[in-house]
Amino acid sequence: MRARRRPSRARCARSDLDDAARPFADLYVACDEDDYLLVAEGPSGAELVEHVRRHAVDLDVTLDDLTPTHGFVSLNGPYAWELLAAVTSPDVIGLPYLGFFHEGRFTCFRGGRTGEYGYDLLVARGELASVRAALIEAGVQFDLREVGLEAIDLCALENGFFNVHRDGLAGLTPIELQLQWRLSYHRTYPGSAALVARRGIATQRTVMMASREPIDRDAGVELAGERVGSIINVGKSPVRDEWLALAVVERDVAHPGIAFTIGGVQVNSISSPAINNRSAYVDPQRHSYHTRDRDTFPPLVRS
Amino acid sequence: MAAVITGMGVITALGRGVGALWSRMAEGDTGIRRIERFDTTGLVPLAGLVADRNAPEHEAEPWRLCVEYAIEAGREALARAALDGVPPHRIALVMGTSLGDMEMPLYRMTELVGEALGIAGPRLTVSTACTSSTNALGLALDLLDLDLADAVVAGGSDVLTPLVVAGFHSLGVLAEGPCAPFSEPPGTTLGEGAGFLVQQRSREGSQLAVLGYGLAAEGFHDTGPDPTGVGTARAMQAALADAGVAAADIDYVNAHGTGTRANDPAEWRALKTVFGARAAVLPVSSSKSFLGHAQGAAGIVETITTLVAIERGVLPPTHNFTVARPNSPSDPIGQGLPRAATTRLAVCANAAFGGACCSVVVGRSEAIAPRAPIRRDVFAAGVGVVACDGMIDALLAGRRHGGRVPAFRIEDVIPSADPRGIDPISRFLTAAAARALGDANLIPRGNLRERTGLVVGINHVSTESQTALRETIDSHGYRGMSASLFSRMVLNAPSGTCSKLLALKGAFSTISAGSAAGLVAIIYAAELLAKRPELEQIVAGGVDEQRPECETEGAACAVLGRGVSAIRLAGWALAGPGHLADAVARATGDRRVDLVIDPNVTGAHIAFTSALAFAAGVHAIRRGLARRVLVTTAGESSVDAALVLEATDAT
Amino acid sequence: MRPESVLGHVATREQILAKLRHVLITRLKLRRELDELDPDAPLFGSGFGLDSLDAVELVVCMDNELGVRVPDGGMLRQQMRSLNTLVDLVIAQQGAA
Repeated sequence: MRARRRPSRARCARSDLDDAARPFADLYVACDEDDYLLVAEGPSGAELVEHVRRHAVDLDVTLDDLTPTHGFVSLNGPYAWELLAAVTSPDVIGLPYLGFFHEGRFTCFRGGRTGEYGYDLLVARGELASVRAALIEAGVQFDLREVGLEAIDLCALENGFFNVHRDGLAGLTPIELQLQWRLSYHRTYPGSAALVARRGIATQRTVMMASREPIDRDAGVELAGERVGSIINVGKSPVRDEWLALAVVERDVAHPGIAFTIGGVQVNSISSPAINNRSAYVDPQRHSYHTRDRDTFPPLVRS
Repeated sequence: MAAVITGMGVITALGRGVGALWSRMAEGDTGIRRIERFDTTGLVPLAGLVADRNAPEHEAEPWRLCVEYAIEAGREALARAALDGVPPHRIALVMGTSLGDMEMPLYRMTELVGEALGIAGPRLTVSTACTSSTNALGLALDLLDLDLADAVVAGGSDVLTPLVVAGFHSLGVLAEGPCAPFSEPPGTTLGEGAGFLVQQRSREGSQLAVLGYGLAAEGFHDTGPDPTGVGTARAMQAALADAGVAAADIDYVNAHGTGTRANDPAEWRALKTVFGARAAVLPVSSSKSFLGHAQGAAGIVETITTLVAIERGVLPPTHNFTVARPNSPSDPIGQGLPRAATTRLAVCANAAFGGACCSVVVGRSEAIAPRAPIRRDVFAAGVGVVACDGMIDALLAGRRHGGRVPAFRIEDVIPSADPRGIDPISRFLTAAAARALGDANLIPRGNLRERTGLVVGINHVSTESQTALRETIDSHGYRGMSASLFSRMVLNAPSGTCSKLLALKGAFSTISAGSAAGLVAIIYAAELLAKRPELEQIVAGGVDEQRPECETEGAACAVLGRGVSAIRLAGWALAGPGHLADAVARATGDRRVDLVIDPNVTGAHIAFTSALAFAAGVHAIRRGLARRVLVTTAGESSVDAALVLEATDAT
Repeated sequence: MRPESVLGHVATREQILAKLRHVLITRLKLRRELDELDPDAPLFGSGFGLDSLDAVELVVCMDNELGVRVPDGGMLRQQMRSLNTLVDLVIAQQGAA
């Protein structure tokens, strides 16, 4: 969605919380000279426009929903920067995390939910096929694979990224979800009052859990026979060869290093992220996908 | 405009004097040695120290050593230049230094050097960390252009101190052994030294000359370069344009070449950007491999190394080169010995903490066609001030006034600013610059950011940061000190923060000149804007944070632009200390002024007030109090400055 | 009623978390309050937005304030992902001591 601001001074109310302080959108806000580009996961384009329109009553803005005319192609992986550089320019390595730039055929946002190098390309529908083809062609040398959202969701779980489609549906606020870093208690926005009211009295917090055996998503989380919480997201991590679960439990036991049971299965709470993503160690200044066998990196699972 | 080099003097780890530098470089000798001057337990014990100053008795008062090196190098340069016919007040001094030991203000060190060398013209200090002396060589060209001197002694001096070693160590950039730029293993080696060129206006015949220079800011990170090398590339391109030469005409590049993981590949990318396909065959070497990283003096000692080599028909080598690191120059002259070559034109490049980048073009004077620079009019587009209430009114009324800046949050002035790591002095400067841009209704956007420069006049680092750093050292020793506080100890740290927060990526410099510093910065900025087509506008000002010696603090910035506005900068000039009348005569052109503003009336003789005087002049014209205003200031024993503001509808 | 072992374990972690939060606020100047610093939030890049200079600072503080040596090189980043991973490191070193 593009919000075009008329030259008068106006502040844009931006929020991804509903009035009860529950996240309903994971929002990327890009300030593009006089415009703002809002890239959201969660709501549809129309829902997002409606939300902004409802809360931006005092602002002189034009809101354009780009979903009918544009689509996204996402490139993810520890060497995604190298593939993207081959298709655009080497300057891409200078793009900071959460930065963006315009290239002839698309606008590229660096963010994502899989690791350090996730690039979401906003492409006009007419160009989607050609951009996809260019990436696939260049991607042959990078063992590029096309995957669906389920794979991205699993990466998000392994890497401790918030997933609005799953974690966001649990009816919890950023305080329980450990997302306070995304928000400010000093500003006023939709949901801020509810958030402030919750502060200091929230009784639960998320914690990551791992198990050698399958975890029953619908079972409760127990500690010493007492129910202490529930599961909001599960998945099998191929890297760890274990099942992972994001649980929300009572705050006094929401810590790594504790043995819980879920549906009779023993699970252990661990520090997030569950895997030691290689993208944290890849340095575009000296590494390359093509030399990865000669490069040494720390193990993918923390010892 | 180019300047011929009539004298050179140098002191490096390879010895005292140009002769020693040459004969030892020709042998493939290195100056990297074990540090004996101070305790290096737990730190890398190697550096390019000046050999006969490596004993413990030389550890105390590093500023004295810095001044000593500078005087000796200056004497050698002046002896060769033979300036007998030039009156002392027509000889200027521009010294680059970033000495981290702040016992003695940098401008005071420059004054001492000037006095010892009999230099009575303007004495300016450039302090932009590792680009200080490179920038100094360029500023000399501007002084000659303005006819403010007939000879300029330009260069720099720096000394290695335990603080600097510990600071670089804490940043994790020191090599375990002597550094191997472009090769393995990564890391740099520190050094020290001093050097000066005597630069004079071009004359007949073939001579070595400084042909042009370029400045840029990266605004990427306090201590690391942008990985695409964009700042270095723009500084090089600006230098080539200033000299009027094409990239294809360059025979050799003396790189910044520190050897660190971050610098070398970024610099290589810059070289590819500037030289294109030719980069693959262009000889590029790093003198730090045998001199060490001489910090503020790096630019001058590396440029002199280049000039000495060119004179003798060779190119300087890179030492310790074994296997090439990925993304490094194809021809690093890596045999450790100079290579025979005929060189007409060379580029010397440096990059620094705070994002400063500077390149100079040197070579044979006949290699370029003489060009008179096209000068454009410069206008005052806006001003911004951060100060205690009533400063401007007091200044206009000729009253003593001063005090602390009332508390404010940087996020209130720049909503997107992260207040962490922004000490008070950086906050004042950035807020004043932001207000000036707001006043000018000029928010740099898109490409305009690279065409908006920043020049800051400043004499002291943040009192708060310095005190906090001392505390971490007192409680935890050098090894436990704070790396981020260390990075705030270079005089251009506030400029770097300001440039990053406001995305000002054009020509970038930091000047110290005693209480004239703010006005001198504005004058330097006006000069750059007048002559450089790559600049559209430039922010300039002065800043101070309260200190025990002076409670008054604040920042005043101006935005100077090309677009016609109500107020024009009608003239500006600098002169040696005690020669204010000369500066005034040049600036006014002997035309009458309605109002004279002298910041010393406030009782605070600091960089901030000299810039505030400019802001007061703008206010006076806007309020209709005057149509032509003279702003003057006398900066202790550094420099006297004068600038005239004029309402554009004045005849 | 929580088992004794869990109470002890949690108390140890909370104590170390408190020290680390204090470091983030007083030494690294994070403009957040103690309760805003979630244990699994990323320290670098997103999350609290620390940069490479802060990393150096944090290593020094871990040594000065908690007596913990953060191992060099590749180990560094994996131990410094979040407050929880830092607590894991402290516990591991104190356990070995």
